[in-house]
Amino acid sequence: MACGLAGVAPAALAQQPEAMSGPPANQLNPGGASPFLKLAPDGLSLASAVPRTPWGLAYALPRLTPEGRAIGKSGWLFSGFAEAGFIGQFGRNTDAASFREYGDFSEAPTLNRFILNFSRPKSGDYFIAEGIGAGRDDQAFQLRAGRRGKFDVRAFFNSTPHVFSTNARVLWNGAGSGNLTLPAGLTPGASTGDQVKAAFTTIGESKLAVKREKAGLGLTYDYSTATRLFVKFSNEWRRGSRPFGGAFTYPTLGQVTETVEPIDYKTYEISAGIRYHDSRQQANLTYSGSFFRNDIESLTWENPGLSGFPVSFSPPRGRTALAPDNNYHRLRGDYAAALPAIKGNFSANAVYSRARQNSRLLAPTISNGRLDGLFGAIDLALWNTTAALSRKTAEAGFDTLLFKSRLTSAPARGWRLTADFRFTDQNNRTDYTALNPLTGEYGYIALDGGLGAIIPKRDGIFRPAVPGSRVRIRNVPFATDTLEAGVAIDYRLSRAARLRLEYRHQEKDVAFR
Amino acid sequence: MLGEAAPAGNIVGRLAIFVIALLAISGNPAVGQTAPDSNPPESRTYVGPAVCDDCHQTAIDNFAHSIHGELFLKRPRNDSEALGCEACHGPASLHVEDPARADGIIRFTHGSATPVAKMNAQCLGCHGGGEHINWQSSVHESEDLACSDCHNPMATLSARGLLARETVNDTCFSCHREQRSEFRRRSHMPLLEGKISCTDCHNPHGGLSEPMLRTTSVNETCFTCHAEKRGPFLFEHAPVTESCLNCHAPHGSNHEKLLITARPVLCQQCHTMIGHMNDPLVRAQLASGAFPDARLIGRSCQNCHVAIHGSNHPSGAKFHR
Repeated sequence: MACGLAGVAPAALAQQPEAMSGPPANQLNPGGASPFLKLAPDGLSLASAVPRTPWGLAYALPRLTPEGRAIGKSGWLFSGFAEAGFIGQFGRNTDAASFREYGDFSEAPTLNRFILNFSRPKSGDYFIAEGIGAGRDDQAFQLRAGRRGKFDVRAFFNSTPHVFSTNARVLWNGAGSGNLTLPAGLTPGASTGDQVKAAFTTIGESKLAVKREKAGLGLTYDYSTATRLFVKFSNEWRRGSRPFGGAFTYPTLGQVTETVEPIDYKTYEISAGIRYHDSRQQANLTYSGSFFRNDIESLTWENPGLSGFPVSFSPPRGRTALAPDNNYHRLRGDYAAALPAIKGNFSANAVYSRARQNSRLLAPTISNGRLDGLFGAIDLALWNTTAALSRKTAEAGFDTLLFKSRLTSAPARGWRLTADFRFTDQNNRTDYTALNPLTGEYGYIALDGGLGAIIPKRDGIFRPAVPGSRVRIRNVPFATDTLEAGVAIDYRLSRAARLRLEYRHQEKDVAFR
Repeated sequence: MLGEAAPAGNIVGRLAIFVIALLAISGNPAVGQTAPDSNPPESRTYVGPAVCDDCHQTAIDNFAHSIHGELFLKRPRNDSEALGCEACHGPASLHVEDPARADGIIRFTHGSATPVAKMNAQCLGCHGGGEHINWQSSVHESEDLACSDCHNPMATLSARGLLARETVNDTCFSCHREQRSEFRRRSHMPLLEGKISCTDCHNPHGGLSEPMLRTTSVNETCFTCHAEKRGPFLFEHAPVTESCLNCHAPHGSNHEKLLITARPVLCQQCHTMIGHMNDPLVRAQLASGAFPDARLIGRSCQNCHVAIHGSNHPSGAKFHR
């Protein structure tokens, strides 16, 4: 049920900002359109009943645009509308996760879509406030102001839900945090199947979902018709929980758990640049930065136990590292020039990006005690502190350099010659060796000691004297350098067909295949 | 040092095909090109937007409410914009003398005598550079796509971008029907729900990578929304570092998590060595079977290998932690 309150002016911009963003939209109104605009009775043009694109597809029909109401003698005009009503649900499976995956259909009144449009035709000034789904998990808002042909300022907020499950039965307390504890009645590392079944009889269904909210501010300024400047900031929060795993042995031996991963992310982004173009050449220079922060660095969870047979060591807890904070910078330059002498065009692009991650490392294990194995005892006290690490932070880095260029020429009608070159250089700077300075051993503690208790060779410690001691004791810095070059001759037979003769040369240098 | 060149046999084969094709079509003119203009350009003159209004009132009325119309008709910033309709359509004198003449004016619609390159040159005269800097020889340009195939500046049909349809997605789906159906699969990003659009990942005007992505690679594109996957991690998973598409189908999948196939089969495509990763798994190992196995339940391999996109844990060499 919905009602409109006034006429509407479609949202129009002074100029297209960088990476055009759409109007506020959600599942009830995916295009963000106004439901109250009537189709223009005369269509696009009286000269043609159904105008079509060059390829033959029909254009959409335009809608009538209200002129707006004058606001006194200020020269400003106002138009707007609002769509409001009530969302109700009935029938089966209205709570199904797939139905609610990206939309909020909770039963409540709703202000689904609204636009407030102020404009001053004489000067080209405008101010637009619009939104959708106010107060719901899939809400979105935008404020835009500017002067047509000169500048545009935009602020936005967008919320996107993502529901994974609405009937999850989570064994642990603390879902959504970095610490999961077993309910009363269960012993970490030593519970029985009957005890776990009994615990589930008191656990109800819960929802596992993540909500992504993003807010930002952008400014686009046309210094002249040839030069444009822009800058954008945004901050994105993601909070919630989603299904996760966690194990302490091989899958056939029990002690595999289905846990809940906490999500508490923030991503800050900044982008700024300058654009230039004239009748002969164009150039762009852009800087982009992305800074990811995770407020929960690890997930610790208590192990119910549940081995199919007695084990010498059943870890009471496990701890896994979650996504680390990272910083990313990218500098990009583009250049293009028309070459009338060869009826062609030249373009070149260069991009350098740099990703760094230097989070604190966790200790190799959270477990205490001794692992008595085939190859001697392992004192976990010598592995469960950061003193057991070869270094305390990740010092991880990844750089990429891309250079691309292309030369085209259309020497005669229907013919085109193209030569292009692309080179990508990746440099993986991460260099980590798993060496415990306390014991002088290479390796780690696999699955917090649970695996070594059953299969000593798989305890995670490298023993050069033991045949089959397959342990990865350092990271592998994967990187690929690619060089591509090609020449092509195209001949256009018709609108729908062309012939192409092409030679391409590609070389790939894969580090550590 | 980089590797070896492609085999020479491929070159010979391609040359042979092209020579045969050349012989077959020799003498045939390329279709879609205009006949030589019998009137020299000098004979075309500008008539002004008032003359256009005599016949094209509906079109001009729609145009007046668009961005271009507000600038060109009310506040032109330069001599070119002050031409109004003729800023894009060129001098209209011949069109006024004989409206039925095919080449009397620059037309941007179906059946126009104007070559696509000429149509696009009109738009790029003002809109060159910026997002369009890689337009020449881009996929769309190479396929002879005109600006007016996706855009219609004569009216405001869409909220953004003066598109030919009401939304970006509708415009792209006009041709890309396969992607339209892929997004309707069980697992998909919220494009149909209005939260993202095709242009969040792609630049239809040309990009630095094969599918016209906004960034230099697939992974860089994915990391713009999934920054937690960027790492770099202490222990990287090679197929992840190479490309997200090794495991995921970005437009939609009937498997969960946009995976290209179900786990454990997905993992077993690479992990074919002896060991638990390649044990035969049968019905008895399903959750309802006699010997339930975690590899066929829930998240399959990721029940244990939770940090599959990369691990920052010192004991995460096999992505368990």
